[in-house]
Amino acid sequence: MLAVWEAAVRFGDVDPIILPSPSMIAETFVSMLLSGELAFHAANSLARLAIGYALAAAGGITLGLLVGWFRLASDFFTPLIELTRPISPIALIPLAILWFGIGLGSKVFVITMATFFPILLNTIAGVKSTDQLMIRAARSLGAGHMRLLLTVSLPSAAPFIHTGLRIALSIGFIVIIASEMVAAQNGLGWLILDSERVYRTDIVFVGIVTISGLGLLADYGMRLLGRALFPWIRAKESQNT
Amino acid sequence: MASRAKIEISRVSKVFDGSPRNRTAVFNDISLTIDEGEFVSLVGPSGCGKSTLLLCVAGLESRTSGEIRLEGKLITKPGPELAIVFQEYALFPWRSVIRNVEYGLEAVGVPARQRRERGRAALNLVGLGAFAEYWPHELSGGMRQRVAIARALVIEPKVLLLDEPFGALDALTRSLLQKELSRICQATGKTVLFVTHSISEAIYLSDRIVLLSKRPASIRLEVRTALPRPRDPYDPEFVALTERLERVLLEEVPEQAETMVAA
Ligand SMILES: Nc1ncnc2c1ncn2[C@@H]1O[C@H](COP(=O)(O)OP(=O)(O)O)[C@@H](O)[C@H]1O
Ligand SMILES: [Mg+2]
Repeated sequence: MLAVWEAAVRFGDVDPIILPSPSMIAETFVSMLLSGELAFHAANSLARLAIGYALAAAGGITLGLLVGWFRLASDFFTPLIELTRPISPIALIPLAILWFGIGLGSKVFVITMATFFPILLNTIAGVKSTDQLMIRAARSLGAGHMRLLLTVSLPSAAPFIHTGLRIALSIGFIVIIASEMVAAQNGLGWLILDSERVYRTDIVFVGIVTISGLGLLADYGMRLLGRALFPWIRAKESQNT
Repeated sequence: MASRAKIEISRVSKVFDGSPRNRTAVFNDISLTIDEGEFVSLVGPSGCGKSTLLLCVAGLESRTSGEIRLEGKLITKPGPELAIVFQEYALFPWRSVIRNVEYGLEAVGVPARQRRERGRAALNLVGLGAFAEYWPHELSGGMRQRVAIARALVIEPKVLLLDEPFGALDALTRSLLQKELSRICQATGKTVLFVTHSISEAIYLSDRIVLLSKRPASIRLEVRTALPRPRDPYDPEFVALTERLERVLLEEVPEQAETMVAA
């Protein structure tokens, strides 16, 4: 496919502003990599993503455990969650700028809002799906309420939480770009938009390739992590098939 | 054997009250005393409420009326004095074998070093000393149930409750585990309440067998089994008792006849 693209651009007289050739993109990529420019923007994007994601994970897992486990917390928070969940995180970007300026705060806020709900909802579902038999076994072995939550419900919800974290991470990669396009002076999202303004479509492609590659890598890491942490899940799957 | 009452079930009834239309009277007015060191089996057609009664004794299910006492004290909640073993093993898949066995010790605050020692001793008792670091999913059904038994025994419960623990196992593994359970109970002198739908399993293991009627269950018959141990299922007395009890159950629930005989 790359060869067809390359040939089409070279011999088809396509304007590189519309579609640069793969070799040109590769060249730009290498030079930006060597100059450290690419690393600079990527690091900024990843740092914002990491902070927002970490906040969402900490909040989502904690609240999810509470809502999944305590009736009272569930009664109080469930309507609130249902109400706030459908809000599009992208639509929040202007508000975020208004409230937090164009610094770190606004991006972190948007990322956190976008990644919080999948983590929260998966954690709640995980806790609620705890096998009643496991709970009975643990109670009859002397476990109290708190111990049940931490040593039975949390580990049995862990694969669900992991799925939530994985989904949230891929959403995070989408949203960080959008938020940097609106309000930033660096980062891959800013790089992509700014290069388009100055007709450097090759850099636009470099940005797209970089963010996609990083997203792919992160998801692969999450998958490996899941395999390492939950060996019994795969054993169950292979038994069932 | 001492004849001090360990468990006293007095006039216990259980009704599941889902909705007014969906009321299930599970058992009615059950009274049963289990002495210290005694091995008692509950036998009855499936669905007659054996599991529910066992859960009530374990403190995991509430009673509708009546009282259940452990050493004279009313049972109101579950705890390590009454350990229960389920047919489905109920091991924690996220814990290694040894850490499953240690679970109850953690819950009552036994220090790590002692936990490990006692956990290993319990695993040795069920013949799984070499599998301490395995995951439950790496073990066969029979081995998993041994782990569950070790996990229950290690906390030194006053009473061991077992709900059809060998029901999901193949015939050979089942008879092997019956032998081992019998040996372990003889060696430790545990008080045991054992639920099964197999009459021969009950005769093989028990000092006393309690036959329940179909739902709403009540006690149909109690038999003491004084056959010398280890028992031989082909011994004429064993066979005669099996036939006698099967006949009683057949009268009780004709439609269950085939499954009872097959078991
Ligand atoms: N939590 C529950 N709610 C409503 N009905 C129940 C519940 N648990 C058990 N039952 C009913 O009680 C009856 C006895 O069940 P169980 O004690 O499991 O029987 P057994 O162990 O003898 O096969 C069954 O009809 C079952 O459907
Ligand atoms: Mg049952």
